[in-house]
Amino acid sequence: MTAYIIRRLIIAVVILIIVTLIVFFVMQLLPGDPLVIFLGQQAGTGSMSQEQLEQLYIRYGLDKPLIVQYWNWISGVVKGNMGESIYYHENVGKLLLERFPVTLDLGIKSFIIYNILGIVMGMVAALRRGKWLDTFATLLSYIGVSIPVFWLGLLLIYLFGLRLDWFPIAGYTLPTEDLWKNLHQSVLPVFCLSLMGWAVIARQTRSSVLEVMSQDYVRTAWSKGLTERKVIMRHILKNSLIPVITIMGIGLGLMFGGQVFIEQVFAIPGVGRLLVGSIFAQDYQVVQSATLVIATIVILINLIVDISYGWLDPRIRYG
Amino acid sequence: MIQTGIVNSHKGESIKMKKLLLVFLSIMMIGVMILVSCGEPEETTQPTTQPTTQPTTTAGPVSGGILRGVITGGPLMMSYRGQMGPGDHSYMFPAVEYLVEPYVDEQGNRGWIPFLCESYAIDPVGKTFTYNLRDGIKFHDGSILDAEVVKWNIQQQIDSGWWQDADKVVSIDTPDNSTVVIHFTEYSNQYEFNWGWTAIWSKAAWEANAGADKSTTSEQGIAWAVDHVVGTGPFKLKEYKRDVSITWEKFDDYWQEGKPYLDGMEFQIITESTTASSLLQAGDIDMWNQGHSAQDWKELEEKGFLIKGYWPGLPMALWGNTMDPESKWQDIRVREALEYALDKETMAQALGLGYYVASAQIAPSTEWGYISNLPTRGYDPEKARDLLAQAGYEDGCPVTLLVQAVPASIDAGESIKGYMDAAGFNVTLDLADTGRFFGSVFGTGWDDLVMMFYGMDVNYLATYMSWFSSDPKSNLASFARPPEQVAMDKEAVLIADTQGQIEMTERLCRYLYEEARLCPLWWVPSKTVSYKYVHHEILRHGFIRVDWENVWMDPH
Amino acid sequence: MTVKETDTKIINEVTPRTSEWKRFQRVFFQRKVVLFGLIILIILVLTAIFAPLLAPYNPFQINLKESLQQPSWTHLLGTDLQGRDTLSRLIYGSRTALMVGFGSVLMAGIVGVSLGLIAGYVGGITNMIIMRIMDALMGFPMILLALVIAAVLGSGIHNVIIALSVATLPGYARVMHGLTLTIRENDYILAQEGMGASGIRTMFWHILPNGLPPMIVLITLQLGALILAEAGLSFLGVGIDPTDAAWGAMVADGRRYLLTYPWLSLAPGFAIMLVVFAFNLVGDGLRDALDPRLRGLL
Repeated sequence: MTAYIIRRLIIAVVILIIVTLIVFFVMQLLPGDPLVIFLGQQAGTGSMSQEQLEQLYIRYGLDKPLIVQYWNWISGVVKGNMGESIYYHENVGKLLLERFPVTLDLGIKSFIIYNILGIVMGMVAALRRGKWLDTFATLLSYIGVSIPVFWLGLLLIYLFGLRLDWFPIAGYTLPTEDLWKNLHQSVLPVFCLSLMGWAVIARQTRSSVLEVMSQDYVRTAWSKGLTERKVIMRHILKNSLIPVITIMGIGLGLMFGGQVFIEQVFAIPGVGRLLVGSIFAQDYQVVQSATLVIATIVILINLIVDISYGWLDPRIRYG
Repeated sequence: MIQTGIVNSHKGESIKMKKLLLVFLSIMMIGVMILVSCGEPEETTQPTTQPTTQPTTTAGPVSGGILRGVITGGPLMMSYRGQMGPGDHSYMFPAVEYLVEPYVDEQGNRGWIPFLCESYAIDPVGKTFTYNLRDGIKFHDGSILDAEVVKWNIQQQIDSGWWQDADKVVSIDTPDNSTVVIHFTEYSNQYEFNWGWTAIWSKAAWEANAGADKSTTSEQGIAWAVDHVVGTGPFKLKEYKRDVSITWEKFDDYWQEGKPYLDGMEFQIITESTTASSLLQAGDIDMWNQGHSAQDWKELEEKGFLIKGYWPGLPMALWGNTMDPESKWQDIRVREALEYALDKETMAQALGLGYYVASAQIAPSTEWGYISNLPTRGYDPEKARDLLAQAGYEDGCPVTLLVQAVPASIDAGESIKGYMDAAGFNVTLDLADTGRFFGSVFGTGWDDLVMMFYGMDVNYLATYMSWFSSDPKSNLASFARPPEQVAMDKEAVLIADTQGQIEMTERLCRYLYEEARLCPLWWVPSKTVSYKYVHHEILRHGFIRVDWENVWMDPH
Repeated sequence: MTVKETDTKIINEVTPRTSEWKRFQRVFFQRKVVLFGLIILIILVLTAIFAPLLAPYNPFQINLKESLQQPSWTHLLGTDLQGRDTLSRLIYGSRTALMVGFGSVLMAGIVGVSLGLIAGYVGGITNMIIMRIMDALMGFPMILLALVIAAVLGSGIHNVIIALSVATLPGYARVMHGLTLTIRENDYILAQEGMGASGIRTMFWHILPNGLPPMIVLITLQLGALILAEAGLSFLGVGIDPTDAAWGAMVADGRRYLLTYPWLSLAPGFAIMLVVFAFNLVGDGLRDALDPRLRGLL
């Protein structure tokens, strides 16, 4: 088991190195020049001389060969220095520290909510197969995966923010500042973010529970006359959740993707908004480092999922 | 619901299917009905969304209150001019004032007035610019505005490296504590803009934060200036949360007695216009400063909000690449064909919902440079085709139109494509995100044709100089200035008398139009959207001054 | 992430099937709701093919004099800002939807399946390199990857297709890789190899056909996600040229008129929902019919 985990960790590091290579070189493919874009948005380079532009290149290390730039970035990241944002005139580490708590706060809330709701809904749907509840759950799960998330956000703002005035329309407050306000403001964005994961988990749970219910040992348990609660808790729940765990990680990627839109719609200062802005400003340093952090999180979570999956299901061999 | 276990599972499935479809369709229908009914004008709205309809115009300004607004971005640099653009300066207007500011009077006449100085004088013969400063102006940090501070600011303007005409400064003298004189190598009538409209920051604050290197371009000072500003303006920076909000509080020692009226201002930074509009309608904000479009003006005006329009606005235009010798836009017939291909009136009407004004020539009718008897090129697609055929494009002239990927520009781009295609062009739209768009326009240049605004300054000579001249403030990279134009530009800046300037501006605008150097489209007026209890004239002076000190609100 | 340990567990009972058409038919058509999805998709394809006959107006013709009209008998769903008939654009939008969907699926599918197949069959260092790169690509949220690629390439339908293909490619590779690993252990394949069949022949003639059923399921489910992603890219400003008629771009653009001309975004929004819904129904149906064990994997 330990050897297995170590092996997986080494592979994860290899993957991360490939991630850095991909993100670094793809950013170089972007047409245009971050400094020119920065200056262009600022003023127009009317009276900026070539020498001054060159000075800026040197300042941001953009005059060096790509390989050197890559090395500087990577060695910086390892030492905890992610470089300086050309656009924001700010240390990238500091920018990310501002943004990640926001994204993680919403992300964790959604993660918890979509997993709990998804599992509960999937269970109920399976146990009440063919009944109204099942129909409703199945339907909701289909809608969850078929609505553009930004559009859903705008519809919700309109309906629950403006029309009914139940929730704030936009904005974000850190839970450390004002927990109640934070929760109140989170309702709509978290709903949007969790809908897709919710749908995926519910569908998975439903089919997984149905499969477990058809197994002999569950039938035996029923025939022994155990109460419904006991059968569900002792036999069905545990066994049917194992495959659900594998796809929890998939929901994570969906959620980070969803944040790109949700942060824009609800004016939330998270990483998604930072990333979109930085991609368009071609702010290399920010995009590189932020995607690296996201990829690390996704890869780590998937690693944990894989390991716990094996731990839960003794049938898995560690090869 | 009569189902009995496994035996009936088949039937169960089919019943379930029917229910599923039924529910799906009914949810769709309900959703549609909710939204459609919400879309209709409602008479039973919540009291909070109902703007005050009776503005109390008779009563004078009332002090107090916090103005809540929405802007679309924030400053990237707050107080180091070497790295600030127009956007940064405008976000800092509450805190920062200038030696000379633009003004506009009740009749709509515009010009420059001394602001932080009592008076100023420009001597065309002696080639000097003399400022007589006001007494007793304090910065937010308590330091005093004097000749030394002004000299330091002007010096920083020169040192920061990319200021216009910096190479023409001989010396800066401070004969006494309230007088500053700049000596130039030569005269230019653009000095008010270039050297009078100079932001003044606290020297003491800079030097206290610049570290060991106390120079005007100290690295540590620049780093401090990213998110600090110490000016003389009516409001002090309270808090800036990047991409979230910027908060201002009243500056008690402000030099204009009794102002500002507001206790403070809070601007949220929101890019999505639908969200901002909802905030306004829900009463969460008092004013929607930036990011609205003609559709919003129309919708909100009908709902009783205050849509205030000001001259000037942003003139939109199509600019061919005239820099590249191989470009098709070197051929005046192609440039003229573009003018004839477009029905500007209809486009302005439809896209601007009655708010845009179609432009036949470079300058608007109220400005210098407008020529009343200029023969303009009206909508005539046949003529466009003929001209294209003469230029060798019988079978269609392929054009790539670069457009900024923001809704209003995309809309315009689609219409332009429609008209151009109908007149013998063959347009491909290239929607560029903001970065690539401005990077191309101001940096690397555009290949073919671009839709881009130009400015609107205190007078049209200044506008011409900023945008079209051979020594521009905003340099459109693929817009060529032929030698004959360069010669006129050199002549133009030397004219000191107003009448001569007006005549020269006309000559320059006539030249641009007759040569069809660019194709003006329409003016997008500058507007603000707010509740009627907000009293302001903030965009009256154009884009380089916002008089936040004069804004006040009725109790509401 | 390596898939081997976890994914193969679910797939390892996939056996090469030659003809199970009857069973397939029975299961697939048993659930009427799947049939409903299938009908919607058939309607979609027919609409796309016969768009010029169905559309009452030219969907690309700009007519600013008829800008922003509310629904009426002349324009059943009203007109947009450019005066184009919304219904006609909706009808033509089915073409774009199918083009984006099938375009990206084809590109990503062919490349991804080949990579997965090669990695799984050849093994060793090739496997290591290909699969680690795919894992790395999977570390990015799909929409971010597509956004960066679209920003590199610029807007337009072809670039959107390329961006979405690259972003979805690792998914196909990963699943095909897992399938290959299991299928090649099969006696039948081992026998082929024993008889001296070449590697390429074994891969493409024997392993690929056996891996196809799950791939078809994956593709069907993926088609819906692609249509949604296209809408997202339009919202972010790097989508399809707005003069083309695309549902995603229509929703993104129509959101500005949500209160005044709601049909402009509601109509394409519901079209997207309906079609994605249908793709999911049919995908699930196919999965159950082909191999219910694929649940959870796809």
